[in-house]
Amino acid sequence: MKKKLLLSIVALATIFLAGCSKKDDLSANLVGLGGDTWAKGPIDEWISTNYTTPYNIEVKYKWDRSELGEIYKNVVPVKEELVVPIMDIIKKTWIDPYVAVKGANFMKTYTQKQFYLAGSPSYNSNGTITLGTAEAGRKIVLLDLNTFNPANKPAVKQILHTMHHEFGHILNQNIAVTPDYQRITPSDYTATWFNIFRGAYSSTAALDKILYENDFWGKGFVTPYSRSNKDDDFVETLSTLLEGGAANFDNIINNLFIYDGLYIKRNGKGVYEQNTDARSKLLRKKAIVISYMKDSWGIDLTDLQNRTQAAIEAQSPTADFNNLLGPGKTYGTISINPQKLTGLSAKFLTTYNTANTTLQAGNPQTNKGYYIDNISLIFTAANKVTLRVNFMDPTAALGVGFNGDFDYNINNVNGTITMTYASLQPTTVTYGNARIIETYIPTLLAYFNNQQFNIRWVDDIIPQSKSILGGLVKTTDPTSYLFGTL
Amino acid sequence: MMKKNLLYILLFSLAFGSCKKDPTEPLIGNTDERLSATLAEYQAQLVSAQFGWKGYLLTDNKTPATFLFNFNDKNRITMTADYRTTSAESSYRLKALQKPTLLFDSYSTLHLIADPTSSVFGGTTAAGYYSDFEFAFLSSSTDTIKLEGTFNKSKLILIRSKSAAESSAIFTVLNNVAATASKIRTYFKRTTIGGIECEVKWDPAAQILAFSYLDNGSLKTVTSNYYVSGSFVTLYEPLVIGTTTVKQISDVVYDAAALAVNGNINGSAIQIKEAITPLKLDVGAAQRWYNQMFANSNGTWVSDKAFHANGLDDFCNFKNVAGYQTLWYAGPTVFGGTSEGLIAFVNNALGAPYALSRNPFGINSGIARFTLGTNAGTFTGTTAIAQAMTAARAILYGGATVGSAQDWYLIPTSDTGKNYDMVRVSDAQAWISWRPR
Repeated sequence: MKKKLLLSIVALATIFLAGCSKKDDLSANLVGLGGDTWAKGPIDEWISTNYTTPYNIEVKYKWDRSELGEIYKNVVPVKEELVVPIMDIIKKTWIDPYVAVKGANFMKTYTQKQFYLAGSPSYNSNGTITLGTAEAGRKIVLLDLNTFNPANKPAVKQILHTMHHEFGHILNQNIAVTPDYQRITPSDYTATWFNIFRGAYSSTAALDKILYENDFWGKGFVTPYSRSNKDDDFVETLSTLLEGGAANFDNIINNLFIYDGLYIKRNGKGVYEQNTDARSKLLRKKAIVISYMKDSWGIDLTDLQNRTQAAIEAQSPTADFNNLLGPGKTYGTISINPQKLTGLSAKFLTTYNTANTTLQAGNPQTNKGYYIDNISLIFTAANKVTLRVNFMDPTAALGVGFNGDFDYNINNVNGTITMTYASLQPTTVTYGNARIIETYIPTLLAYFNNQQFNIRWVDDIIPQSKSILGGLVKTTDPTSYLFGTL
Repeated sequence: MMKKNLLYILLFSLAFGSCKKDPTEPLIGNTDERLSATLAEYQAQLVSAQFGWKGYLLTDNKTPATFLFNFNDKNRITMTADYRTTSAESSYRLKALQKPTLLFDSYSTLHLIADPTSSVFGGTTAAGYYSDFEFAFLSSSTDTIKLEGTFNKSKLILIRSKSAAESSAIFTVLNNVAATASKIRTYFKRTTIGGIECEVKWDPAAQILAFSYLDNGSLKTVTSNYYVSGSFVTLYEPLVIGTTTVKQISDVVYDAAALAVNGNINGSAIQIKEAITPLKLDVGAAQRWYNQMFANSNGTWVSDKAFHANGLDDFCNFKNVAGYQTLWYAGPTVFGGTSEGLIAFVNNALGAPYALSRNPFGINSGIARFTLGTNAGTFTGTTAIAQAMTAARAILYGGATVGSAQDWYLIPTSDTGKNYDMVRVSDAQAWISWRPR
């Protein structure tokens, strides 16, 4: 019986298969099959040479609405003349560093296979704009490229952040990160991460900034988006380390404190209360990213980071600090708060701490144990700098404190300045404050008076710190220097 | 057992029966081959125009634009536009989407008015001027191709240029028609089409023609945007007036002796003449205008371009007033008490001098009368604002002394009842457009 059944089935199958051998014409020339065609130009050749041939990546820059995630938006194509500059920067700052560390085959194997470029952003109904999307490690859509300018470093970094973010997903999908990563901040992932934006917390700008930053950095996340889920958290940490650099990450950590309203909590001597919880969470995440790259892919993250940062700097160079500093220029003030910085020279710190201790011990009746909160150098004119010592009264409520201003005349020759304490100091309030404390901080004033400094970036001292930290280094003693945030 | 056999019989018959081949061949050929051929034909047609194609675009928000396109066989195109006459190169290609489609597939002059970032070329954020750069072919003949935007439904008409002279004149003919239109000195214009007397509204900047005529005693208005190709003013939408269908007006020329514009519709000569009265006055409009003022923001009407008079836009030269924004006719919200009058808005503040009207406001048989009540501030003097306001006062009130009066028609210009043109009754050669603030 069973055999008969089998026979019948075989017979039936044969008839079904053989009986239906219709000969369809399979040679039809379907319109559009194999993609769009057009007469190739120099841009197409460049893409072929730099992307398609070496890495099997297609770069679509001609308009094709179907490539957009949201096809019902008014979006315009990219300007042709921007295609090569944009893709060149992406190649040099994303592909090339990986190739240098892991070899070309690694990138051939793992990169996404398509770029789509568009000129304008995609406007959303809630007033936000979309700057880029990625589809499952297959395709990356970059929008708003018509405003691209290689000299605009933040814009360049934004594109690279997207690239490193999406490529991080691909790596993570091939070899998953160890689950201890998601156990660091398990309860703070949220689908409404996009509600974290400036202006969402307070109508007071300063307070809004504190609460905004506290909602991700203060919880141990490197960006608002990293609060979205464990995978995006992981790749945001990776891409921030690569695109932002070492100093950027450390600067985030160094600024994590516990706040009481607008001000950092502190003890009677002005020692800040650190947000040790967030600091340790971010450092643990960084450590897992480093070990993941090493163990899973054999990539030295520091090596990759150095190469990425060097490539960004080469593509979008930063001008000398001296050229950017001064009245009406990019930077006007260097803020030095030793509690928010690491790596200040021992010689400067000794001077600063001595001044602080002496001030605290000074006249207890009038000065009530004043302590120095921070100092800043304000470049108000081409030939003048004001040393502003911000000091606090520990017996009063926490506030902005007092500013004591000391004017120095400077003579700037190509970034080498000599500071001379001005013989005539103004008599307004801040200079009046200066008279109150000057007898207690002679070491600090002497550190600057009649001394020669180089105004320069300190990326040799704190690597990858250009545009974050700027400093003054004594010309006669390179081991004596200070720097601060800009 | 029997049942099972039956099942087999059924299955076998199904197996044999299902293998019927369909010998039908498509009568009009293979779809893909025809589509490929059509695309190739369109491309060849576009490339074949030695002197290029004149392009007339009307976006979805009725913004008109004129182009000159030169397509080559390497998917490259050079173009100029009335809003940017510098020639620029970009790319195009033909693609089979839902219909055969012409794609301007890299950023070009054409994309400026489609750019959703309003800081680039104006328009609305997220939409620009509601224009397109993907156009489906609707119809084509040797010399004319009609296309429609696939996204915003803009209209694009391509007309083959026959000579280098025609190509180089593409923007000047448009300007010439605008210049001709503005030679008619009066606000009201009349013509007769197919025996029907029509009032003509002609806006050369927005490229709009409108004809109003009486149909059983009520005013009927038909409107269309137009483009200018050679000596033809062609309407995007044919307009039906009585039994006449107006598609285009040819040979548009100013006749200085007759103070009129001559033209030709369907082989019949027409003349657009000056008129000083509306074809049918909306007698309630003046009162509605006055009442609406109190409902408007700040209880005021504002005008961007101030008065047109004696053939000149901004006759009073408000353009010379630094920081001029708008000219207001405002009520008590601005002036207090029961006062109302004319005042300029300059640098985000109301400026002196200004003029107040006499109360109560006079409306007689649908005609508004403005009577000068008070002069406030220094009208004499050489400052730009004093000179502009002196001129504006002279137009609105017909004089500078208290008690001077001037009559005005109010013509509604929008369905919402919130936009009016105000036209001087005496000669219809001065007018101003009001909008709510």
